[in-house]
Amino acid sequence: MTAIDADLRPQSSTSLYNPLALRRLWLGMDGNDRAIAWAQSWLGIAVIHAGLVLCLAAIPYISDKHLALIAITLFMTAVLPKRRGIVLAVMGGAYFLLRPFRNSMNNDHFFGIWSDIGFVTTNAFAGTALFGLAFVAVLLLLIENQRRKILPLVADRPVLSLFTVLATLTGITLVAPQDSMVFRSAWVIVAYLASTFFFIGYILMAARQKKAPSNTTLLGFVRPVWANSVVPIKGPGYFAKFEARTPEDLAVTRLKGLKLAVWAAILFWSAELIFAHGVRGQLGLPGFDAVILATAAGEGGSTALNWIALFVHFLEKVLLVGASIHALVALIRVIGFGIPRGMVSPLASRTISEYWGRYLFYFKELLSDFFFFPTFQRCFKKYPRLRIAFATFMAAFVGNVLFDMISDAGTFGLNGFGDTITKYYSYTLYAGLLTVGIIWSQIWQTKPRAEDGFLRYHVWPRVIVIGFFALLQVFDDSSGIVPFEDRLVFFLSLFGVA
Amino acid sequence: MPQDPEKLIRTAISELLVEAGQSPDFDEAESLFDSGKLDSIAAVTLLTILEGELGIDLSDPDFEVEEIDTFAAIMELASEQAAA
Repeated sequence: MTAIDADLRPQSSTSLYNPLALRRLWLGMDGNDRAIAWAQSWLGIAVIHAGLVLCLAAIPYISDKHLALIAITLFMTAVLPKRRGIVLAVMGGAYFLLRPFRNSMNNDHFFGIWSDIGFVTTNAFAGTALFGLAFVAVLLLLIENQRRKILPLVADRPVLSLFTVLATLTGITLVAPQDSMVFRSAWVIVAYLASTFFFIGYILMAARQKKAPSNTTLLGFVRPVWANSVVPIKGPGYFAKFEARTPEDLAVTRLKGLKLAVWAAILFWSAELIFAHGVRGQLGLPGFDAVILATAAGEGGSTALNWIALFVHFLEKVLLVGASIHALVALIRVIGFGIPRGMVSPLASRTISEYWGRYLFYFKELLSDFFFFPTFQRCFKKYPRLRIAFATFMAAFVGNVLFDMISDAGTFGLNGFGDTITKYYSYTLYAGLLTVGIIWSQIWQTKPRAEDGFLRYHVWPRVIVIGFFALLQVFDDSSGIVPFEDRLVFFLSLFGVA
Repeated sequence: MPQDPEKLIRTAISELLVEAGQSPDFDEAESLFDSGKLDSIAAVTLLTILEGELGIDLSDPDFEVEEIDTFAAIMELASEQAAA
C-alpha cells in the first residue's frame, strides 16, 4: 500500500445524491465490507473485469490484438485464480512467441530474413515462434545456471554477462555485411535480446533468490501480458510479494484495480479535452514539436508563447504518462497482484529526487536495481557523498542512456552507428542535466519543513521542481524526429538568446 | 557488532518512516521499499548502517538489496552475518 492508497479509507455513511459523498464512497470501496463481499461474487467479478476492459479500450495505448490477449488472460485468471502463474506463463509465452519485438522496423526486418530462409514454411509467425522457442531454451539454461552456479562468473554477474553478449553481437552487426549469414544470425539474437533485456535481467535476479519462483512463473515474465513497452514493471520476485493470497485479498486488490482503471480513463480524457480539443483545437496553440521546429527556423512566436507551449506540453505529458502507467497497474491489480502505483502525485513533489521517484516509479526502480545499488555496493565505500553521487550518476546518466540504447540495439546494425547515435545527443544532455539535478537534490537540497511558512514550504519548492522538469523535457527525446540543434535553439530562446 | 542490532535497526526504520512523513510503526513482515513506503535514499541510509554497524558485506555477489525489504529479512541477514 502506498501513502496515497492509505488515504483512501471509507468515510462516514453518506447520501447517494451528493457527488462528493459518492466520490468518497467510490474511493473507499476497497475498505467497505459490503463492496468486498460483492467483489467476490460472480456478478462482482464480471462487472470489475468488464469495467477494466472498457477503461482499457477507452485509452488508445493498447492495440486491439493486445487488448484481446489481455481480455482472454483476465477471463482465465478470473476462472482459475489459483492457477494464475500458469495462465500468465501460457499467455505471456504466446505473446512473446508471436510478437517478440517492440518496434515495427525489427519486425519487418525479421520477416524479411525469415522469408529468405524459408525453413519448412515462409509463414512469418512460424519464424518468430521457432526462434522464440530456441531463445526460451537458452533462457532456461541461464536460469538453471543461476540456481546451480555451473558457470560462477555468469551466475555472479548475470546482467553484465548478458550485456557483454549483446554488445559483442551488436558490434558484429556493425561490421558484417547485411546480407551475410553472420549479420543475420547476430542481428536476430540482438533483436530478441534487446526487446527482453531487462525482463530477463529481473528473471535472473529472481532465480537466485532464497525463495526463487518456479521456472513456469519465471517464464511468464519474459513478456508479461501487460507489457506494452520495453520497461518492465519489476520482476517475478517482486510480484510474489504482492500476490493476493485469499479471496478477500483478491477482492480488495481487484477493487483497487478498477478504481485505478477509471482514474486512468479520467486522466486520459481530461488531457484530450483540455489539451487536444481545447488548447490546440480551440485556442490554436501548435504542438510542442512544431513550436520547437518553428523557433529553430526563425519563424516562431514570442518568448511568452514558447513558455506557454513548454508548460502546456509538460502538463499534458504528465497526465498522459500517468494515464498509461495507471492503466497497466490497474490491469495487474485486477489479475491479482496488489502492486503500488507507478505514478503518485508528481506535481506535489518538493525536491527533484522526490519528483523522479514519484513520476516514473518503476523506471526509477529499474535504474536503481540494475545500476544504482550494484554501484553503491561496490564503489567509493570510504567516501559517503561521492559514493551516493557516483551511484546516482551510474543510474540516472549511464543507466538511463544505456537503457534506451540497449532497447534499440537492433537499429545500430540496420541504420549504422553514426545515424543511430545521432538520435541520442538530445537524450544524453537530458540525462546529464537530470543527473546533476538529482545529485544536487540528494546531497545538498534542504528538505522544506512546514514551519518554514506557506510560501517556502508549499509554493517555492514546487515551483523549482516543476520548472526544472518542464525545462528538462525539451531534451527528453531519443526518437531523433526533432534534431538536437533545434531543441537547443528553442531552449536558449526561452531565455531570450536568439 | 552493537549491543542490540534489533533495537538499532528498528529505531533506524522508524526514523526513516517519520522522515518520509509516515507512521513510525511497522510490521516485521511489511515491505518497506518495494511498497514505495521508503525511497532509495532511505535504502542507502539503511545499507550504510548495516555495513557500518553490523559489518554486512554489501559487495558480496550473493547479497541482494531485496534482502532488506522487511524488518524480518534484515534481522535474518544480521543473524546470518553474526553466525558466519
